[in-house]
Amino acid sequence: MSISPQWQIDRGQLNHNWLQNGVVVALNHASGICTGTVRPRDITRSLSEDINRWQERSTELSSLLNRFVVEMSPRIYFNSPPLSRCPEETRSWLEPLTHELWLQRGMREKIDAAKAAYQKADSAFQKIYAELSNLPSSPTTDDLKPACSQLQTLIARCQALADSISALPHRVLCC
Amino acid sequence: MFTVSIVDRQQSRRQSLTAFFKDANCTIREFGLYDELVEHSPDLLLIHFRDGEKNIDVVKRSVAVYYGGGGESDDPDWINRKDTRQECHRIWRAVMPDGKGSLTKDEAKELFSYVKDVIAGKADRSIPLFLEPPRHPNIITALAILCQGYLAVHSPETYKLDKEFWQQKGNVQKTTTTTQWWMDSLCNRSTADLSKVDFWSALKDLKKLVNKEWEVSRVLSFAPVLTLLDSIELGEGPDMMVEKAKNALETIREFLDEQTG
Repeated sequence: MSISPQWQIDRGQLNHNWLQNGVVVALNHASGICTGTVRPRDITRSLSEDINRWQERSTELSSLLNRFVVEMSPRIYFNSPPLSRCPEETRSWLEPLTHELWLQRGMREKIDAAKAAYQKADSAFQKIYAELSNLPSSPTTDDLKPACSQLQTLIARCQALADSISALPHRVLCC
Repeated sequence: MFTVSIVDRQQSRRQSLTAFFKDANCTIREFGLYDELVEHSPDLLLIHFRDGEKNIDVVKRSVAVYYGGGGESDDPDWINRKDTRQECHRIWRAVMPDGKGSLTKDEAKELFSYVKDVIAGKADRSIPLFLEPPRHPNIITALAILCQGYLAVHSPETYKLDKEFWQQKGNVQKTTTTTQWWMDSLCNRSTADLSKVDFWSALKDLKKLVNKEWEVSRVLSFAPVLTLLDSIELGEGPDMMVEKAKNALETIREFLDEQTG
């Protein structure tokens, strides 16, 4: 119904396609390895591949969250007709007002929550990377126990991150 | 026998979208989350964006209609890719599992006739209105933004704004009470280039655009927005206009919500 910014397209790619259908699925696979329900030939390598999915695009995801306030603000309507023809004396106060009212409609809280969820997920990944580097080349079930509980935390944090990104609006909310 | 297939993990939405076709004794095939898509050739394929990731090419249909609930799986770039597909359309409003935004009986009938025209190869067939992309969404959006600005100036208690924001408020208060102020930001060309006659005809055109927009949605009464436009045309003062701007803004908000669920 409205302008479809690149941000929306990128969000679909990163949150829906990569995070939920890529990273979370890979983490569940890794969890299966730790609990013994999945038995790959090379456990360490397979775990590493699953968990490294995060590194593939996590920087892009972080940048997506930083772009939100610029690209999804209704002030972008002032870049195209009819509001682009708005006289400067009106635009000088109406454009910042539109942006400020948008932030006041819960946008500040929502984007802060998504950024906090990102930080939590990222720090959990850093912990598990350290854990993985200490694993022997052919780990036993006991060796994998600490990673197993960390993986559950990681899956929960990734899901919370995905939910917080989904909670951001799906269109440029002008009012 | 007219055949309809629907691919959607939500059973309730499958039922609401196919209700008319069932009543018209069409053959319906439903595909849920765990159903494998098999090769077949329905006349009409209804498909949720999210479930379009399935192996949809095995279904050889005459017409495909995509829809979504306004979430992330909806294709935000549909307009740019639409022309590359044959007889592939989209319902532009959100269709929710509880039946909200689903096809009305009249719309389903229209779709039914349209698909029959496609099958018959009729050249002069017209696409049902609800499958047409919104044509002038930015006018509605601009009107909402102006309403907000107007209310912030003339009904400051509506919003919480810092005093510093309004350092030049005196000037703003005066300019926003004119018809010109609204039209400068809504007109499809600069009002400075318009003669007096053209100015009022531009306002009438604006009303027609707003009307058309609502015709596409067929969801809400748009009377409050037209009342505001009448008020702008008459050049009414804030004592009359504030309430009308509030009502129009509320209606636009509901309208935009209907589009995206």
